[in-house]
Amino acid sequence: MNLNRHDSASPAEDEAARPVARRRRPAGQPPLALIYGLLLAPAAFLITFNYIPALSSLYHAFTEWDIGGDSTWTGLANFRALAGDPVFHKSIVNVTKLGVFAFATHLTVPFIVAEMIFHLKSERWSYFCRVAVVLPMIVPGVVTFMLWNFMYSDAGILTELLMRLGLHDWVRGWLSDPKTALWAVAFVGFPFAGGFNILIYYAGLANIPGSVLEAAELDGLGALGRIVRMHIPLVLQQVKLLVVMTMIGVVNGFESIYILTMDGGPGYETTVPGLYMYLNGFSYQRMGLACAIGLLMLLFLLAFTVTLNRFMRTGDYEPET
Amino acid sequence: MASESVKKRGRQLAGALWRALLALILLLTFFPFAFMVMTSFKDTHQFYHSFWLPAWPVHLENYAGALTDMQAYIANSIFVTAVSISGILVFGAIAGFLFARYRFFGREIIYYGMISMMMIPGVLLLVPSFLWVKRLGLLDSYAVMILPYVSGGQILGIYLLRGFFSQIDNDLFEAAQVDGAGLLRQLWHVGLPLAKPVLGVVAIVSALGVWNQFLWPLVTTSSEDVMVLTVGMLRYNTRVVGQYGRMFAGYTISAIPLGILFLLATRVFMKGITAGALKA
Repeated sequence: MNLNRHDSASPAEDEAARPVARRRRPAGQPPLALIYGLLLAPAAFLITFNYIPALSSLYHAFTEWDIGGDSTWTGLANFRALAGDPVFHKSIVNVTKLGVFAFATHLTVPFIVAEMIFHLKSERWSYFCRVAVVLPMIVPGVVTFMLWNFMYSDAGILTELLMRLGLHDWVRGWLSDPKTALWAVAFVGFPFAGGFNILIYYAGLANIPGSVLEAAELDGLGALGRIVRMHIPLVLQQVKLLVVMTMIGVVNGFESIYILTMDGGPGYETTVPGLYMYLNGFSYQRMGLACAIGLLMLLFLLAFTVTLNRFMRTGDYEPET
Repeated sequence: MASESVKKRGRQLAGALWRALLALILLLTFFPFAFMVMTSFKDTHQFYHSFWLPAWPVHLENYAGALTDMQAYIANSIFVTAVSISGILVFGAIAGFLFARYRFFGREIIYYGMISMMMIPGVLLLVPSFLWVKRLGLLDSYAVMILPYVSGGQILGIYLLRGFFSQIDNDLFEAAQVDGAGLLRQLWHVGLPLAKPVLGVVAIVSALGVWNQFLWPLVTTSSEDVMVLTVGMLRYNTRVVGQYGRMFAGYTISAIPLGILFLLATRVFMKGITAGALKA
């Protein structure tokens, strides 16, 4: 809160620097009551539906909280329980594996596709491709996961394909075999040409000034040289944005796992912290523990974002089509 | 000379390979969705006996059946999304305008107090939010979805619209002021017409976000009267077990509402997707 108070000082200083005549309420400035009155509704919404749950989570992470709403303060007991909880450990291992895989795929494939689209000579085709990669987003995310659930099922595409190829031995319950379940979750969305990431990269490439591109060409850099020595450094801002977005997606995203395996099974092979939080809250009735997991995830994300901002200083991101 | 032409050939070949790879990636991306649409026209027999190829005759009754099952969910989703977007646009425009145009005590505190909530992903507050709305007696209603969506969604609107309105030349508003237009009339007659592109982006980002909400309505609603499409699809799945044609017809129908939005506003849609990144 101290920080905010500091910020509020600057407009007052600006005001002081202006001519004396304008120091009172400038002509046409509406009455303060009207301004505050109009801000009341947005603020009341935020307090009710964002601040109260956030503060409640912060408090109840240190309590035992049952579904009826009664809570008793237990200090760090929830965190101690998590520290010794093999399921929570397993969930962190799983989310780390998924995260490494997601970074390796969701950051690279879209870049390659964006490069391909960027190199298309015809603006028409380029636009067509950009629209095409976005099109799958009209299918609700949940339904996309259901489609993948079908692909992995006994009647699904993967099994059917392997049978066709005569690889009967390879067929298995992709989501129920402990050896493959996490892989199956990781491969949802293959070939990972997600429209969003491609558009972000493409915007970065399209923003490179023509003169820079020409200079590189005159320097005799080959296509690969241009990409590695020039394009990648110039889209670092986009990379940073996507790193943050991917991390948020990995840490928070357990909808796909909920649809594919429901409870993070087989065993705990596909349990991730987000799902474990959900299960603690809504299946095991350990609401306090669920809040503690949520708090740890939030702290991790904040720490990650802050570290990244320190580590990779780039300008502000401007969206563009 | 010969080596020059070989080089050129090589480059052409590389370019062709490059484009072929792009086409392959696009095909693979679309394959599950193409399969979905193709299978939605088959009956169960055709599904098993003509797995990879389209089959004749087409079974449009799959769609009739699926639509009967899903129409209530779709209507609920459209209602929740439309009301939420309206709320987000109204709050975003008014608050963004006030923050951009006027000086008042506590402006930056209030502004950052609002914007900072963007840093906390709602899903991490699923459990305390649920217990809180339960206590408020909101469970199983439209309000339990709409009110929090407006609350969270307005933040991006306030952020983008403050940025937009602070770039607009003051003279435009002052002219209206001289004509005696108050704050709201200035916003309505001068601000909003100029802000249409930004409002479009906010509307699309919000529409995508609200439409795809799954976990929140899953835990807060249980009756069919208010159930939205994403949650309804879970029930739908259990209803059509083994009837693959009908299942995929349902999946295809689920894509139509956003598909229509996409057709009507392709450019805004694409801009909105990247602008949504600011949420991070």
